[in-house]
Amino acid sequence: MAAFEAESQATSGGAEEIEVSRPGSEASRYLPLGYLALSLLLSYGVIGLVVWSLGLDVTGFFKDMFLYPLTTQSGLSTMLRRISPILLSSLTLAFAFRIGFWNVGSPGQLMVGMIAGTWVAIHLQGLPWFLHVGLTLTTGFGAGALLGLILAYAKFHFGVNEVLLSLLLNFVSQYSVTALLYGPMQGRPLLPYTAPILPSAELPRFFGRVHVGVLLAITLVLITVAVIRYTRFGYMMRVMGSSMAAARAAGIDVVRVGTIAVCVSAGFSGLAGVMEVTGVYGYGFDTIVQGIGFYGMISAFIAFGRLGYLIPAAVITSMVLSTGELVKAYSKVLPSQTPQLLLGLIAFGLLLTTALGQRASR
Amino acid sequence: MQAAIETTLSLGMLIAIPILIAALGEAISERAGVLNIGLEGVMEWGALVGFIAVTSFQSLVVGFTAALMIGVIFGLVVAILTVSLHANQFYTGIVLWIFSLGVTGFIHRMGFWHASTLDTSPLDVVIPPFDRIPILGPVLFRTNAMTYVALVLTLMVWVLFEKTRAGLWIKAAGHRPEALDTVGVSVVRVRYLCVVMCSVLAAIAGAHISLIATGLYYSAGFFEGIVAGRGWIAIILVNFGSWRPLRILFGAILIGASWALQIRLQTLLPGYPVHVFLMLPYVVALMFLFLGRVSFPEALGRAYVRQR
Repeated sequence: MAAFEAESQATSGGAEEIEVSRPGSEASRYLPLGYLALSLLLSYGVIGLVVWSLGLDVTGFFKDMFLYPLTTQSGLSTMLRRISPILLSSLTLAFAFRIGFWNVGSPGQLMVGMIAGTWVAIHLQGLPWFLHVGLTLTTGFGAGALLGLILAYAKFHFGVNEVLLSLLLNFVSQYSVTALLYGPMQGRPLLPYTAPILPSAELPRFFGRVHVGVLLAITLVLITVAVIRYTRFGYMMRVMGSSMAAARAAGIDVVRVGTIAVCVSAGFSGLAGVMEVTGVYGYGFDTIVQGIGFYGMISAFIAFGRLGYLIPAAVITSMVLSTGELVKAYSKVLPSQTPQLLLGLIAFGLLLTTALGQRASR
Repeated sequence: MQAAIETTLSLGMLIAIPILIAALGEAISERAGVLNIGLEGVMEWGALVGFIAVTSFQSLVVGFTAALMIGVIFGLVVAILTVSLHANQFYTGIVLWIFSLGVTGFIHRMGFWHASTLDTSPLDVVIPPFDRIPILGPVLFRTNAMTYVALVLTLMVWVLFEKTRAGLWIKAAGHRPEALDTVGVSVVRVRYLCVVMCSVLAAIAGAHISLIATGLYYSAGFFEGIVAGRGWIAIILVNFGSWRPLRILFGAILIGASWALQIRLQTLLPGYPVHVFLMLPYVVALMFLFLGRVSFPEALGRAYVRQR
């Protein structure tokens, strides 16, 4: 949260410092964990109350909720495969945030990456699998990055607010992609589905529907952390994150570094979008990544915007989302929006507790 | 041809109203220095609460009053977080938006509210001699009572900003909070009031969406994500209109007209996927975003910390 807080100053341009290092670090290092625990408690408390007020067995519900994604084959497989899109879309937010850039365009970038990659996966015939997979994933990444390029160009050359622009682009990309799915890319009569992809573009799977994309996502996060921490480029990003003015004064090409960072950040979401097609479903459709962009953002909030915490945060988010499958067993009592409620409450709890905590430490 | 233009424009006017009301609220809040990015979320709450209240009590007054109350609550939450606790305004807004989307969707599905009991005809207004004026008549005199409320509101906000002392305080709170503090007016109090006012207007705008605006081209009632980006468009309008109510009105009418045009085009040009047309208002908003002013109220987005 320290990261998110400090950024407010960076956007408004009056900032000196970003890493708000607090005195008495030993105790405050674990404060975020406390905030998270409180938020989870709030969220599960509310759902517990709802379940109780409906006259259901509360302990049984919670037992199912925690055991289902961990102990059953289908629950575990779904939970694991969902880590890939959530992790990558949370990386989209957190990575761009490293330079103080709010890329909330993950939902649109997922859609655009999905459709572009699917086109390659359907239409390029006769390639060896490694080339086809590579091309498909690169196209997905590139399509997402293209949206990132629009964001970066508008921000750095016109001073356009990136939050509003990326949110608008979400609508435009959603509608454009759906129009393509009902138009030239339609593979089934009357439905917004593409044709099935070629077998050579499919990602290898293991353990049910878990695909290598999950491992790729985790690797990408680790690489990103290393780049930020140990390379010259990462250092420049960190300086920009702490103060644009300082970065400019130090002679960093702010526009170049910023543009690359935002493009890569958006590319991560594009990659996540196409991997849902090549790894899980085998065809593209309009709601394939529905909600994922938002869950990714919440996951990044759970990680307090820090790249190092993204992986555990994605596991938590994915676990919470597993209630979505679980409530089907409780169907007609609990709506399918239950995971949204839980995640929304967690995000709200984090916002409240960290704001209170920061106030107290001031 | 004239009839087509008239129906499109009068529909556009009705669609523009919730965007206008929300944008006026956002203008007040931004002038006072608080960027209420969570506007979309408040509107979502207003839409849900207004809808539930109307279907439960069969009264539009109760519906809009309920929306007003949820606006006060939400405004207080935003104000406590951003003004008192100095939380990042972007972070606060985005979290509140995602929170609202999830929670309103859940609450809506938990209950059994039927839109069929919704009747908004008492709000329809036709002023006989004038509604025959070509073009302007149907737009201004064959419309909905809320249209007049919104137009009066626009004037009131203009008077507030340009002619009153309170308006001066609001602008000072957003531009030079230290100066306002020096003359003995509480920056915190001004900002609290403005944020709450903004949220109230946004919630009423939300209720307008679920009770009136959506019914014009779909069916009145609530569904998850009903606000559909109108909140973001409203924030863009504020910037596009450089925080002036009359310019915001102009922008809102343009957005409303493009929205209505898009609906007309769906029937005029069959055979294309409707989504090609659906994105039209967002593309117009995108252009507004690029045309908008870059100079903000100076203290916008920053919490006021009193110097000791």
